[in-house]
Amino acid sequence: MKNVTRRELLSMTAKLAAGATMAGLIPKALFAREEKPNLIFILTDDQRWDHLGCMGHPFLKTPGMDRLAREGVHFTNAFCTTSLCSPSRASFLTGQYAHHHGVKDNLTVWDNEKNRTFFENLKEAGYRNAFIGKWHMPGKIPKINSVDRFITFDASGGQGYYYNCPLIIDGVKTERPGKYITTDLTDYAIQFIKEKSEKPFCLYLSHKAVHSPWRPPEDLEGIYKNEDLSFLPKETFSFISLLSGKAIEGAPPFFTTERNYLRYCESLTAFDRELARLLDELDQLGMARNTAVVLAGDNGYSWGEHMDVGKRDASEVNIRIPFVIRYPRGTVKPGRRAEGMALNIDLAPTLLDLAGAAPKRDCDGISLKPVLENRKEKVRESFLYEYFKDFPYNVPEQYGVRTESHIYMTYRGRRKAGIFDVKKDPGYRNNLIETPEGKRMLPEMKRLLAQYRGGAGDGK
Amino acid sequence: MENKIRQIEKAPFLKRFIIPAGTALLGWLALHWISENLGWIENREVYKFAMNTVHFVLFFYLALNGFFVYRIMRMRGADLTERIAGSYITPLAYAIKEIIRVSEFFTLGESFFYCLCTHPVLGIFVGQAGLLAVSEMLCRKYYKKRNLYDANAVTAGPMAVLMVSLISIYFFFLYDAGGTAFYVYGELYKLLFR
Repeated sequence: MKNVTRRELLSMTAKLAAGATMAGLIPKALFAREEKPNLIFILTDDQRWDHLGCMGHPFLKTPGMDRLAREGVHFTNAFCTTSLCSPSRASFLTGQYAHHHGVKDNLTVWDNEKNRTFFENLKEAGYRNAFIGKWHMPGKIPKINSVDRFITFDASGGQGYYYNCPLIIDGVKTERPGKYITTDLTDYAIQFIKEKSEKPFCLYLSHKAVHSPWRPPEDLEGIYKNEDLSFLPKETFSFISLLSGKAIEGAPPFFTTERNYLRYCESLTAFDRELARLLDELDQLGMARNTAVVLAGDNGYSWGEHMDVGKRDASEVNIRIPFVIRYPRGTVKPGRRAEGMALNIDLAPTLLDLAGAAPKRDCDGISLKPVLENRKEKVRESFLYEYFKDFPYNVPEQYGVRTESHIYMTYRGRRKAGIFDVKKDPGYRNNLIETPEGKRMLPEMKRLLAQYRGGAGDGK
Repeated sequence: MENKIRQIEKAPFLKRFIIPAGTALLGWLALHWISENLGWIENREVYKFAMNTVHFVLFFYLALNGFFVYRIMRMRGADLTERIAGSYITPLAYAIKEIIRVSEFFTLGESFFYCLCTHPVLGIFVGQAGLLAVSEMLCRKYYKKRNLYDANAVTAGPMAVLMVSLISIYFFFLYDAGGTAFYVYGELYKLLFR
């Protein structure tokens, strides 16, 4: 056999490859620049982390969300860093803690000059962007930089209405008589993803659902009315006030906690139906494989825990959020649950990482892409929780550090600091701070808190 | 609304003011204490029933307090200022309790402003005003039937108070499920404290 030199071998290989390509034997994708993924972020409001059918809820049926979890990675240890609408929303957009982006409560104004959202980096990377839905940050609704389509609402202080909610479509207020908002926003979302364009897109779909006053569409009203609610916490009773977090002294008992809870579940089912519709649309358009769909909630919600209905403190049920990423093209072992702690501030770096866009330099969050690719199990050991005074809600300003096993909480005012074992004591009833275990942990917790807060300590 | 009722003697201050207003106050304190101390009940259903009952009663006790206090004081010859003051003693005590409670998280100014919040306190206050107006007109009607009152039972003063009260209640709690009223309150807070 004739000896072949290295030069001859390379030349032969190149000719063979060229021939095979011409003949269509080798996928063009191997040589082409990889197509950028489309990005869809879907945000629900006040949805509890455990309110998905696949989380074992006693009666809630959520085939849409279950499908997303089955086909993606479900981050079952996901949290918000401030359990309140506006700060959490700003954290999703900027990848920053609230003390960093400045939207500390539902009254502080979003600074459109200072705050950079991930949309800007995506725009630079060639994306066309849409923000559709609830903006709900204080101040005049801004023109968000680098967003090509902006549909939002300002009714009821930015909370919107479930029915007949006027929309501000690219700056023009438009009446929407007879429209149910979850469906209306999904219609606009689908319209956006159907638009023909050479560019990849990023869609931020931010729902009103399932914020109070819960109102399902007519066909879903009462679907859960016969369900047994005995799984609600023992301390639940029918007249827990939204505002005082305690009793109805002064608050009219128009609706009971049980009635509100059922309407919450029905409104969530309505959302799920719209999510399923959107996923079906992606299938029909042939976009599912190359589209990363992220579902998250802005914060959790208490339904009777601590005799509270609301979200304004560091209770487990308030800080845990649903968080699922489905990205068929970029996920190894889909259908798994990731136990590492994921945060709302991780959204921005994750989307930018998936898009191959320039990272946000001022980000506090960490990309979850390595978890999707199954290269890492977790991206952090702890995080900062902060809650700033939000008048008139009866909750003290508080700062804390959450590790995988414990939470250290400090409060402004008269309330004492605490360390709680979140695994054994998710209701935070047993303060360990004076115990040997707590005393051993305290210095490290204090150090972490000071580090996260830039040396500001425990906020006293 | 001054006393045009014949044959109604003005009872001593203790009987016409202290006893009706004081009894209402003590009743509220007792109910409030009970509502705070039911955690010992282990049985879930019993606990829920007890909490629901006591809070239901507590709410209506606070909300309707003035209606009854006002009438008793009226029948004991208390003048208008006394009747209004007596009817508002319990809601006022409730407001003070709330101010003390929320001062854990808010400044003193904010704690007082908290009482203007539609849901817990202001709602009770404006609702109470409407009830006093109804109570006044019902008293007049009662005496008029017995030929003890000369003028019209329904007059512009109490009717105006009732209308303002009803409109406020509608705006605070019913219109947009209270969302718009709460937003306005928030904007007022920003103006004053930010």
